[in-house]
Amino acid sequence: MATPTYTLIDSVTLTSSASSVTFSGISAAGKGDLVLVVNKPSGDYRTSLRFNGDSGTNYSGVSMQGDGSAAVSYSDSAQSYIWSPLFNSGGNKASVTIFQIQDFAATDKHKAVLSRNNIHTVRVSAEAWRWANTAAITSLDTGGYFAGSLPVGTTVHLYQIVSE
Amino acid sequence: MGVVKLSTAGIRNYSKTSNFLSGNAPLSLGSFDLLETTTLSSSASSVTFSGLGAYSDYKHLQIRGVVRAPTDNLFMRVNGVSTTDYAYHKIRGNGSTVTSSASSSSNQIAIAEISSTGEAAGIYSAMVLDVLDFGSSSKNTTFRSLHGKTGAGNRIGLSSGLFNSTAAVTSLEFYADTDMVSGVRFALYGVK
Repeated sequence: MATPTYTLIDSVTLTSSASSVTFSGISAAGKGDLVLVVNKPSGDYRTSLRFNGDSGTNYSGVSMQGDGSAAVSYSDSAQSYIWSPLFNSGGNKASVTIFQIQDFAATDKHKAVLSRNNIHTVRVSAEAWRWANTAAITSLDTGGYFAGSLPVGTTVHLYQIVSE
Repeated sequence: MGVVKLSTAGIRNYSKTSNFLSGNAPLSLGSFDLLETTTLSSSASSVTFSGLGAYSDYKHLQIRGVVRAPTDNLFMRVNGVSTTDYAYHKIRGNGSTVTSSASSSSNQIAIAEISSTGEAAGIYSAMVLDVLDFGSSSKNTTFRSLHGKTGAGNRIGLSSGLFNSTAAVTSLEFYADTDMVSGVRFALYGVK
């Protein structure tokens, strides 16, 4: 039987800048995937993501990007959070990042994340990230790059796509 | 009961409701529905979603997967067709370079690169695949996927596929060169 899904768990619109936005108490019920949409109107265009408060060097990623002149690929390992786009130079631009967090409630898998990031006039990227931990995700926090803040007007939406 | 003119009688204890189910939660019919999930409890050579004609209420399909197998390519076929009726394009990043390749007149679609069992335990790749207008009997069916993995073999990729037939899609089969392992999950969703 069909089950309606792609359910909004929570959303935040910042009325003042914040170092991060945290969603906690994420239930494993329904399992499946999480989708996090972070829309920043300004600030460093890179966006960070952590799971279960883990600030250890347990995140690794690979990126494919185009800036209008060339396509490039980067990777990084032993990072203390996911950051998208995986690019060493930031800038003050509006950006939209969508993280797809697969099988978030599994307890036998590292957590695989697909992300897509668009930055007007700068670049477009697609990325794969992995959190080297088999714990179910019960909380996540997203913020600016290297503890930078999220600016006023940032919207953050968290959805669940259930499986069985 | 007689009819009372409200402008004369007025309304007391007024309660406004925003839906037809007064006092109850709004009814959500959904436009993105979970249809089926297959999670492997042991290794298997393929995962097939069949009988897709029963989902004619939906315009598009999405398959969301976490995949791992001894080798690192995931393939798909439509309606059990194994002749050279497929084509695909790929673009990939491996952490150093971005490359692109294509195949026409193929007997399968290479739809994703996946984590291999050479990686540490617990590492599965991710894939999101869209099947557009799957019920059409007047269009060749197209596919697109975003997929990626990190570990000893980093890869991020976008793929597109073509089933060079106007037949409606009634089954989708996913397989690797060798058996996919326990824990692999494919979830099928319908989009209205």
